[in-house]
Amino acid sequence: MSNETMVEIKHLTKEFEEKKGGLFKKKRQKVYAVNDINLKIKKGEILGIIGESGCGKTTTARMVMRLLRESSGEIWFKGKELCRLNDRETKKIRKEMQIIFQDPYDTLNPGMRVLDILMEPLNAHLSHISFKEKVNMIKDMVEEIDLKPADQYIYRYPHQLSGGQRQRVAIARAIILKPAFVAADEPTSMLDVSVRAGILNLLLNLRKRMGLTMMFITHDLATASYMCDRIAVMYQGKIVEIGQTQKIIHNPTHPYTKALVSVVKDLNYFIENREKLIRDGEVDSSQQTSGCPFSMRCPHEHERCNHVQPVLTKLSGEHFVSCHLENKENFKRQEEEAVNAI
Amino acid sequence: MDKEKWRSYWKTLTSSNLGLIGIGILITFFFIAIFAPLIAPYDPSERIAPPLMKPNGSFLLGTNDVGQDIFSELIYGTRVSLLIGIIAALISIVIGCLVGVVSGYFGGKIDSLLMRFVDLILVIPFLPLMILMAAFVGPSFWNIILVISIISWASPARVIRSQVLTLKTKGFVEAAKSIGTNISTILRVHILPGVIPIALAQFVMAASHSILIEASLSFLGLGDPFTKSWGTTLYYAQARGAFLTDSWIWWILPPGLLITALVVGFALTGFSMEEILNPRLRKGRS
Repeated sequence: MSNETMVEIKHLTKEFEEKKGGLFKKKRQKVYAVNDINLKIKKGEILGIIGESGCGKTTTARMVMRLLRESSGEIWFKGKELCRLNDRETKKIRKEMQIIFQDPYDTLNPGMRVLDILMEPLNAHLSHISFKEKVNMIKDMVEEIDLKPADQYIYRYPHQLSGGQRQRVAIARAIILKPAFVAADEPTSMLDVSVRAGILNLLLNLRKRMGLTMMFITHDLATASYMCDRIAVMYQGKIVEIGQTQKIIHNPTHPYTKALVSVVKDLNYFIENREKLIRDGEVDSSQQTSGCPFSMRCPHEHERCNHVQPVLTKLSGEHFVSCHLENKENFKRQEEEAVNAI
Repeated sequence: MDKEKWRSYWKTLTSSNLGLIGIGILITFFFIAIFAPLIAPYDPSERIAPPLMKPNGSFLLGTNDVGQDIFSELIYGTRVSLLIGIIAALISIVIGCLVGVVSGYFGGKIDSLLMRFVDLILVIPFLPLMILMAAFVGPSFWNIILVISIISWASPARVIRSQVLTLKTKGFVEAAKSIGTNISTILRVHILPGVIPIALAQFVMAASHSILIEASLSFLGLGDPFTKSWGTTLYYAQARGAFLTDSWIWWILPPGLLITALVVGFALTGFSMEEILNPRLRKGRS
């Protein structure tokens, strides 16, 4: 792994507007799906993004893949700012970055054969090569994703494949153009546990062979720790903790990460000490607090947490956390400032 | 799979008795239209007998006011009615498809503009508008088709738009976008195949509407007086006072029944086609 940065996200924000009220009293409320996040993905690295559903991980990936317009912020990829590219340049850049979707039952057109499905990216970007060469490329690719022999599979329709095989085809479609960067949006969450490991190992193999850089989105910490070099934990559109997988697993610092890790490590301990780790209840993301987004579920809630938003602060090396409790010095200073201001 | 798919469509289409009856009626009418010269005993535009004859052995339904054979008139009328119905339906479905797909896929301002236009057409009371337009452009075969298609593209456009709206949120459309497939290919490869079955059912419905509209326009005297359609037969019958004498039995009833039968045939076929599209309506043949 080199230190070269492949993808850099700066202050990326996505807000959705919610219209409330009747005909005369219109209120517009902003809901932040992704709120000012900063990330760097190094070349050859797998960065995991974990968090509960609705925390903005998929939205982030879709913005990076240019399937969704950002509200503000910058995305840098290979020295280009993706948010400022026009349609033509975007199309060119799509060849180098691809996304693997969550649901293999939805992302393959039921009326197309595997051959046609894999032909789509080739037709879009490699119009100069002949049909025969394309078919050969597809056959190679299909063998690469362990559907052997290829001749048996390429003339099948998606409904003639199992869930795991479908996801393999979806992966093949994403990597057939040999992209440098792939975002995998919960690629195993719709699959049987029995075939998950196969898909994960396939991704790891492909990364080794093709030098892929990946953004791996999941809600499962165990999967993330198996796959990723670094993990970013998201909560309510914010990154609350980011660091090497080892650090996150063995030294979780943010209360949310602690809760996540304890579930995976020792479920009995988690159940017995539940109140000490996390408070119950889903939080309505439209309710904006000026303080820490996690304050409503945090077991150590402090008066300050309700009013001051914590920022990502360095703990050690590449380990950052955004929590008042862990940044006592910062916290004190802000408290003093607040007092002085009054 | 494609063959299999069509085979299963055919199976559902023929699995209900109503669908079978509908298809049977349609096939019969097509047969009559194609072989009209063989079936009809006389040339419908030639005066071959004294006017206003009662039905007898050589003139099955008697003759009209100028001495033409009414039976032959009706047989040839099948051609005109079917042709107008099908051409007008085809045009309105093509326009409806275009508007529906563009409106549904692109959304936003184009969508609201096109849909307000559709609303406008749907909201205008359609018989007065049609009478006005038919009177304005003048009576001829093609003008009738034009008038019918202008009126009837709107509701298929609505239906197709809603189908496109569900299709475009499908994962494979998004995947195609992220691959970088251009819009025209996405529309052709991913959207259109999902729209075609619906368009087919809409086509059948539109055809039956068009036949009714053509008959009413002709009956009101706004059709082409020189083409022999069922509507014009009715128009002349009414104009010569057939309603007041016994002659309505052989001059007015038969074309009326033919129009009804053809429309019912189209409607039944359309209903069972809808069963294909909406599997929840499907029921096993008991």
